[in-house]
Amino acid sequence: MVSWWSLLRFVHVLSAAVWVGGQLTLSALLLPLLRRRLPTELRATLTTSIGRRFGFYTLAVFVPLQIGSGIGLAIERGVTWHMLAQPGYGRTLSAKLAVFVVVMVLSGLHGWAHGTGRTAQARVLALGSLIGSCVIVLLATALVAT
Amino acid sequence: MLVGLWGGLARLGYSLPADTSTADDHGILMSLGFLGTLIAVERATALRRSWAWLAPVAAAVGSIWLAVGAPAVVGKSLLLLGGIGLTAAYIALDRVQRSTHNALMGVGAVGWIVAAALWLANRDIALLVPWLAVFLVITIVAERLELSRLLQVSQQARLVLVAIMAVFVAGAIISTFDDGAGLRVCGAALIGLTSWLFLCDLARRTVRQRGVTRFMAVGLLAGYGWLGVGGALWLGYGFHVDDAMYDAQLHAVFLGFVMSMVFAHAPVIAPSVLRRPFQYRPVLYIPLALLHLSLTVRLVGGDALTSDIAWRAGGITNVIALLAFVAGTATSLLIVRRPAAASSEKAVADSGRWHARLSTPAVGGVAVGVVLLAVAVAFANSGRTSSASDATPTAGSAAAGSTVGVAISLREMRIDPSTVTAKPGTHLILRVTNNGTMRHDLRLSNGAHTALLNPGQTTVLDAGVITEALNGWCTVPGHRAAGMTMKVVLGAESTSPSSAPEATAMGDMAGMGGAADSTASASDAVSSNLAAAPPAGWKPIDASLPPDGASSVHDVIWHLKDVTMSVAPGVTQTMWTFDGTVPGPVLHGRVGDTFNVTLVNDTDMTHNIDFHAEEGPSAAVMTPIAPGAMHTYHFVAHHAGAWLYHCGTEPMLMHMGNGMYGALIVEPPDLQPVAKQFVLVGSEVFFGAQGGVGDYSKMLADKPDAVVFNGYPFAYHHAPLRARAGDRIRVWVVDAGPTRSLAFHVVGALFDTVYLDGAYTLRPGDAAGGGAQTIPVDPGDGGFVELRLTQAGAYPFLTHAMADAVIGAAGTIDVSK
Repeated sequence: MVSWWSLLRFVHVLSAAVWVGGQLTLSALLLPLLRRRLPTELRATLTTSIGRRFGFYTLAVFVPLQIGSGIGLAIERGVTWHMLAQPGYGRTLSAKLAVFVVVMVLSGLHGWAHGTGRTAQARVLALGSLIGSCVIVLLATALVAT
Repeated sequence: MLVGLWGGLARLGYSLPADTSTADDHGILMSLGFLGTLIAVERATALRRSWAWLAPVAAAVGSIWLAVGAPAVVGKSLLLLGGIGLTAAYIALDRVQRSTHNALMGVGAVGWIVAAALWLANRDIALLVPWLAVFLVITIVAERLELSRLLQVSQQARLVLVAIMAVFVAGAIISTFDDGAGLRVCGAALIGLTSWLFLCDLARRTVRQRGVTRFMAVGLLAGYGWLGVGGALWLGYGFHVDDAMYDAQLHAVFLGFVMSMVFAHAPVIAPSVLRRPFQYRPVLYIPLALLHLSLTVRLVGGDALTSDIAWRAGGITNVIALLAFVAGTATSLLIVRRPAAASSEKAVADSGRWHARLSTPAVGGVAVGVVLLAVAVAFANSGRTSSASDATPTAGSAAAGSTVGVAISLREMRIDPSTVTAKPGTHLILRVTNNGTMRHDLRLSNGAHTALLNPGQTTVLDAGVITEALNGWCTVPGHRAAGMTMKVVLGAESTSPSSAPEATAMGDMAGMGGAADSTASASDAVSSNLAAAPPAGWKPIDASLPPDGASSVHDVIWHLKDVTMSVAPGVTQTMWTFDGTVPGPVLHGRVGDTFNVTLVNDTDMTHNIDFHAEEGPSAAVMTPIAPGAMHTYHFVAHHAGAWLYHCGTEPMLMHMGNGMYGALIVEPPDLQPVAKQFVLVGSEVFFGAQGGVGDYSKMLADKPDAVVFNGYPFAYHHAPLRARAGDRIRVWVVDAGPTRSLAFHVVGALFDTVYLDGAYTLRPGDAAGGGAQTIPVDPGDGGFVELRLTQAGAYPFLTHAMADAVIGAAGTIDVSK
């Protein structure tokens, strides 16, 4: 049944899909291609500006949208602070929130590392953030079932 | 390479409760999962064959699998596979270059296989111990042998070592049949091994050097010391005398020796496996010292002197030491600056095998991700039954808690089953369906609850792991008290349906919606003086009968609203209303008129309306209106009367007691015109918590706080009805109850006309020449009286049931000249 709540969940899922999907597309499809086809200098400026855009989208759209819609969904579900420590739904949700925070920190650090020329660290952070986002999606799918 | 993964595994292994009976698992996860993975990675790097990576991957995946509580048989099989893979790697290495150390390590790997196979066969964990020791001790000692540039080992010494190892393996084999004797044989071998290591290892000389060499030597010697302690305990006490001895026997060898070896070798192995420079820092002594000190506290204070605090403090510090070491090693690896990624690009260019293509950043990133995955999933799944321990045959801990699903049905006004019995530790999942006609929900006393469910809607409610009895109820006001309760009790069976709704929760009104729920009447609002002046802004209901209008069709639109209003001096309640007032608006028509009443439900609760003047089965005519919906009720008033209308939604007592009623006046034909007509609706008020809804337990007990005409105690003392001397007055009286009858009486006057039960029982000029003093109006009934007040002055009216008159059912008619 499509209700206002399902619309809110839709926004939450869509926004997450854009973010995780964007990361996956960039690092799995686009970047390897750029590495092979573009001269180093052009590649660097291009990846930097792509990263900036992605970072801007993350801060300006993604994070507010996820937190806002997430709070809404929690209200709908009747989540309480007490519940977050409870085994099952609560702990899955708090694990998801914690990984979200970690992933946001990792991707922030990635931006910083990339910007300051720490290529190796930037890659570590990017991969960590990417897998972390997949973990969030995994936990989200687990939440639906509980 | 997989430092992050190992760190995660180490943590996971130790996050298993080390002080419960299921603690044995953590030892296996540490031995095979963490150390096994570590050793297998090292061998795979040395062998440079893709297939050799099978062993560490299988071991790592298997451990994570077990740690997060997935089906144990798969995880154990993966661990077994890891052992087989490692053995195969040693065989392959042996073909490349034959050596004693390699052969010994191969024997060690067989120890892994045997241990994993015993585990898979669900044998007692204690039986695995000698084999885990075979794997780790032999592998580590052989490793020392491999680094032979540090050792001066003669051929003779080499033979002695092999002999000791043979005794050790023999002991392990014996232990499978006779664990006491086997362990003693192993203990003897361990003591021999300790002596051999002290004699032959260069560590006792290199300990006089400086820097990382010294650090390693200190770690080695301390480890050898613990190996000797462990060997003495194994030899001296045999198998598993008591828990404290078992703890000491295990941790001397597996923590004291094995972990100290890991600490000592990390500066050599980590860089070679990870192909990163390792910058030694003296700070690494801190975790090393911490490990040995805490282990001493644990074994001496905890196990020998049986101090529980020492045992716990030592155990926790053991874990801290390990984590600190992992952190220290990671820092030593990461903080080293090295020239940019040129080398990794080169590696990509001349990619040979897939693992060679893996650049360090990629592996680091994957490691970060895998740790996130493992920690997050482990936490998300924690608190439920750990199926990683389901094969532990040791403790008699009832294989507590599978996940149990129970279907729950909500309908008016009960919850089925009303009792769910769950074993303590059961993870209870409720599949809740609203089979009723109005909205319901289910809230449990542990805080878990569903959303408000529409009729027909189903949801899954995770009640969590059941550790205590729980109550459950529907939070829609009134529903709990009306019987929508259930409970989860602790017991052996999984569930037993019980049909009779529990009446026990009647007094427990937490579902009534107010902020401070009226579990006890103590939380109910109190009016210190019902006759006191109403608050500023209070307006009486206009008691004048509204005109019936020119048309014979009456179209009205009312909104159903929750309105917070003053219901008595000092008492504010959230009343459920027809169009915002209590009582609702008066409908006025004549016999034969058509009424089209449209109700818009602005509340979050289902309501409906029951016009007493309307005929038809309630299912057909008293259509419920869901929150947000609207409905138009059509009917023709075929009969005259002072009719009651009210909300007929269950629990009706609650809906009526909380304000949902009003009067429908249908004039009889040829009604004589009078100067003034008033409508008085009598009802009872039950104070709930201030600002909340009425107290249902009081409604049930027929204990009103006030009895009122038109919604407010003494309303028409404060704002008297007005008439002129000599006027003929008609008073329509309707009793909305919900429970008490009215005895309508006007002080200083009598009635010359009475219309009750659809007929005039008294009219002026009747042959009997009588008059009426008081008319009885039962709940859900109505009628009218006519009277003429000839002299100016104040005429009180009241219910002559005096106790009710005292608590508000009284007013005044002011008659002027």
